[in-house]
Amino acid sequence: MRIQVGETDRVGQAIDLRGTPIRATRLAAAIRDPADSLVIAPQPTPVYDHLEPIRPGMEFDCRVALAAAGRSLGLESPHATAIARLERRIESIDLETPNLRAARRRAAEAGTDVAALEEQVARTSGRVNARQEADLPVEELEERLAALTRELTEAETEAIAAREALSRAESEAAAARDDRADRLSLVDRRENRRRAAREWFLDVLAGPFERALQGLPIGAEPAPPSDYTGPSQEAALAIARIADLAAPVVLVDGPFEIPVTARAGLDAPVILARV
Amino acid sequence: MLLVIAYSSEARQKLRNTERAYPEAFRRRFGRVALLAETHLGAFLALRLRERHGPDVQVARTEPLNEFSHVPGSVRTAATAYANRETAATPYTKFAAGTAHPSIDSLRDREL
Repeated sequence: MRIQVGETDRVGQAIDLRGTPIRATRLAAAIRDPADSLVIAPQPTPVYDHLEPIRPGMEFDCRVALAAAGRSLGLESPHATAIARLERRIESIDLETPNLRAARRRAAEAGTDVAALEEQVARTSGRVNARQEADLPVEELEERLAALTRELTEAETEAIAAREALSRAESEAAAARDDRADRLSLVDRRENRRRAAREWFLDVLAGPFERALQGLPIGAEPAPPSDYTGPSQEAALAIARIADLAAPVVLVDGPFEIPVTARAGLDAPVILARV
Repeated sequence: MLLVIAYSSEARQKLRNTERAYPEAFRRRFGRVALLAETHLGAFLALRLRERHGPDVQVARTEPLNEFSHVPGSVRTAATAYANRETAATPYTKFAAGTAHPSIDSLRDREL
């Protein structure tokens, strides 16, 4: 790897940047971005996502990282084919999303209009009757009543159209929900397979994990990953030692004093950096 | 009651979390399906889920079925008679044949 530090380039497989202002998170971002000229190094394998940078108190999912480490070594769980097949089926489901919200709003507003006009028609027609009984002129009111009745008819037509549109949209949505339900059951099956695959890696890599802990200058009691209760940083170091990372691993706060022992201990290119 | 159905793992998880936070608004929950109380809180929670997860959340309003107001007498009678039939192995088609009970096809095609 090659790292640009100020005016000069640092080149090698074990580089100490603890005395420079370049921070570990900046380095990790540069390693993952091929366009970033700060670090020139091979692209990391996916296991790298769980290990950047390795530092005290880091949060990571040991099972997921261990499975990624196994895959970086070319191991394949007996579930891999099924997972890939499920992935393809999930991706092939095309999800339609009819706009129910607009249809609901239209139907509700049309219903409100009809109710309001019905009330106005009833009131106006009551007033016409009252004036007729009192022998008062009603021409003006009758015109108003006729206009309201026309408006009511139009509103009723719109309400019927809106209800039909909503009911069509709801049938389309029901069909689309079948697809969503199918997709969800495929997603659940895939998650079960992934869990099973992680269990498989956990089992297969139990020995290498325990030996890696043993081989590191750390305090954690060597244990298989399912029983491991030590610090996350030390589990991450063990996984880094097992995995094929390709890219340099960034270490913060130990446990190695000098870069060459880190390089030897993890069997990977390393950068010692500050937080 | 308000029926809420989730159609993605995220929506299902959110539905579970919502029940944990507001158990008083939940009448029942079965996996990714829940019945919420018909209160403003129930509506608020259902709408919030739909706003967040869009078409991955279905919301409907349910009410108890009164068979005496909403179901034709022929259907009611057929259901009662078939449930109380003497031979448990008789399929409905055979049971209804030659009687006044409606056929499965006519039941299927008529809207309630």
